[in-house]
Amino acid sequence: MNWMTVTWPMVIGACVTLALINLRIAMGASRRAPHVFFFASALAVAAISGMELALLRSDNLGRTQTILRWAAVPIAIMVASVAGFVRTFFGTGRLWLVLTGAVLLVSAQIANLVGEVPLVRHAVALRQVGTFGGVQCTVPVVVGGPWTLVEIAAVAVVMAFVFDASLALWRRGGRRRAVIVGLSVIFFFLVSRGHAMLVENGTLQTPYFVSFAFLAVLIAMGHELGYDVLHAARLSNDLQTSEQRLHQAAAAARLALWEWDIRKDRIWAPNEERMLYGIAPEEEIDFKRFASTLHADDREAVKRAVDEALVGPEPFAAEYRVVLPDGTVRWIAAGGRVDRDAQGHARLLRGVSMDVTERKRVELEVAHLSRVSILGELSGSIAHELNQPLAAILSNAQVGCRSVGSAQPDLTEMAAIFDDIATDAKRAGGIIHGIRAMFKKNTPAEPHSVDVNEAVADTVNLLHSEIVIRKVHVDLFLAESLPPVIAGRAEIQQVLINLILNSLDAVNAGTVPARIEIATVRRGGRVIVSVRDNGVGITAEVMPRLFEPFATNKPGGLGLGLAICRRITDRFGGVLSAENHPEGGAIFRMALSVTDAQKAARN
Amino acid sequence: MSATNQTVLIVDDDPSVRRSLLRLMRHAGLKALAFASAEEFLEKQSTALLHPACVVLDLRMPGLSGLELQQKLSMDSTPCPVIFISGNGDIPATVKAMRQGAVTFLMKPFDNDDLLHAVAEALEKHRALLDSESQVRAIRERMSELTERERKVMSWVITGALNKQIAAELGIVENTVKVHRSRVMEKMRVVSVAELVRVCAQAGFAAAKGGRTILI
Repeated sequence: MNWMTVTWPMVIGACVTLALINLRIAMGASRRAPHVFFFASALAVAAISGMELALLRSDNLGRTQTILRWAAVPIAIMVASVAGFVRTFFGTGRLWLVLTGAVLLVSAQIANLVGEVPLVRHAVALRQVGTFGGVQCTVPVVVGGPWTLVEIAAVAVVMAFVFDASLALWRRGGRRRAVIVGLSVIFFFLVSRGHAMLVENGTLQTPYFVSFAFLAVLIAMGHELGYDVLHAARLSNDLQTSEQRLHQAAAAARLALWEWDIRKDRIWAPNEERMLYGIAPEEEIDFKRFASTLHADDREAVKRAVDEALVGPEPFAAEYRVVLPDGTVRWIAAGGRVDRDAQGHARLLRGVSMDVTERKRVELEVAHLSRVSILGELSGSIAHELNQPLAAILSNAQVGCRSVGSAQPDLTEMAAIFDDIATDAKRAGGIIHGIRAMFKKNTPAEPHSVDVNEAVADTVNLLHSEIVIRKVHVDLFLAESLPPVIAGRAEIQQVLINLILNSLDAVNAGTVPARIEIATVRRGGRVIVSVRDNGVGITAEVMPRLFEPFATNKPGGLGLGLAICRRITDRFGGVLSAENHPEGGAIFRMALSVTDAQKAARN
Repeated sequence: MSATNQTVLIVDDDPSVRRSLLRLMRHAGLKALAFASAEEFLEKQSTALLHPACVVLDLRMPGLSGLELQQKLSMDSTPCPVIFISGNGDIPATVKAMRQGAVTFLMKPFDNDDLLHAVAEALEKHRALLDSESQVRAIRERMSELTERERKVMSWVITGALNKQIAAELGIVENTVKVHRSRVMEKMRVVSVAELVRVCAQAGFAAAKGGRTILI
């Protein structure tokens, strides 16, 4: 036991430890190539160290020669691994340089191994060398062969490659790494090679220290690799913190984040999100499970919105109802973006959900209030409409009373009177019914199937005296056999009243004989109601803000009507648009979706 | 109210109201015609207004409104009285209707008796109007029989001028004035100057001017 038999095994131990640590990291890391190369080079250094010790302790020229021959293999592996490490770790360097080096190296070593005599390093004699502590060791006297130059050239090419790669990294900004790894690789390689040559030709009276130099190279490489691992750990820590922040911010904003892995059909959602949908914290969620939480009437629309987002350029956006296990209905607004792979296939859908139940409630309230206020404005007209049948009823009833009191009541006439009274009473009832529906709050809140032509006709009837008093001519062009649409009857009438009253105001301000045209038409899966007037049109100033609240060009107008109308049509998945007609006046269009049953029938 | 030549003309765009009003008038023993619009009324009624009549008129109608029809009617020499009925009468419209001489303004629904009273009043008013109109026509006919000189004399007589003054004014002898005067009284079928003054006023015949100087 002397310092030599302790030191070399320590180098072996250190190399094997480093190798195993990096093997472990390589198995978990996302960038595993540098770790694998490091692992290979550390094992190679361990082997070199072992052989070096054996060489130093050999007292037989034949054995020394064999060890020298075989030591070339781990050295070649080491050189190649370092080159591979540099290339993968730096991400720079010329491929042709490293390939040339590898080809030269491998051919030199093969030649050295298979030749009758070693063609690179030929040990011709043994020499005793004394070291400190009185420990003796043996070193071979080596002469070069015909392939020695090739081997030197190979190392030189690899070193040139490392230098070139380091320079490139330096230019790219990775200065510290280029200096620590690049310079130490070149420096210790050259030192070990030079030192070994001086020992082998007898100039220096020291043992080999090749494995020590290589260990230094390993340490430099390991330092940088470790730095990356540390950096990754810190990043992941930061990421966690920032994720936590994001979640807290989202929770404060009542937003819940989610992510749908489309290929695996797995939805990741934190607890806040699960609570919105009434899903247990540990339950696995796929799209089907998500869909199962939705209100039956909204399922199709949500699926459609998702499908559109997956193929189209537009982000995903939908508002839908979720039915919680206890039966509570909640309105959720969700939006998200599709993440695509290089081929453009949808990979992930990431987004947020928000509970908008309260907003929806307020929206309905506002729509209702606006409806009530419109009815208030129309009270005179409504009274007029109602008083017509009432006047006829009263008059008929009084005539009937008097006839009954007469000596010979005319029964045929009495029957006619009763008939007229009944007809007029029904008519009055119809008007009251229509007004009551408009007055009702949020009912029916659920979209249902609505006959658009009927809604138009009823609305025009309701506004009849308003239209008459303003001396406007209203033409109806109602398409025959129009399919029902998904909407709310009262709300659709509310929109129509707003549009018609707007048109009435617009044509009254104009000079030409006032006309309004109301038309219904089917376009694919939609029914379009248009209200066109020949009035003053919409000014360019108001046009861009037309559907925003408080945008008005009507004196005394609050500017809420159209904003509410747009909200209403949005709620039913419809579209409300406006433009000026080229021949003057404005044209408003409301497009509403035909009921699914109708769509299916058509297909 | 049973006179056969008087007519109630109903103008209302609401068929139920027209029907019930026609029935009411029939039961009240009144001849009635109904029109769905002011335009139809103007087009179809031709002779009804020559006899005592009244118009039961709706305020709000498509096309020509009730107030506009009333205005047209009021330009007649013997304007047919109008009774307004409305489902929702606003104050400005009511005021305008009354200013334009409406007999009354009834809010729908109204009591039949109220309407029948108003109709009776309106018919009576129109009858009186037509009566006075026929008297004036008779006076004018008589006037047309007068010679130029007789008209001149009459215009002085109704100022209360004496024969002597008239003679001086016209540059003729007093006796001639006397002759003309008796012819005027005869042709105008009046016995006193007071009566002559009344019929001239009724027919709108103007008295002569400029007699003052002679009177003094």
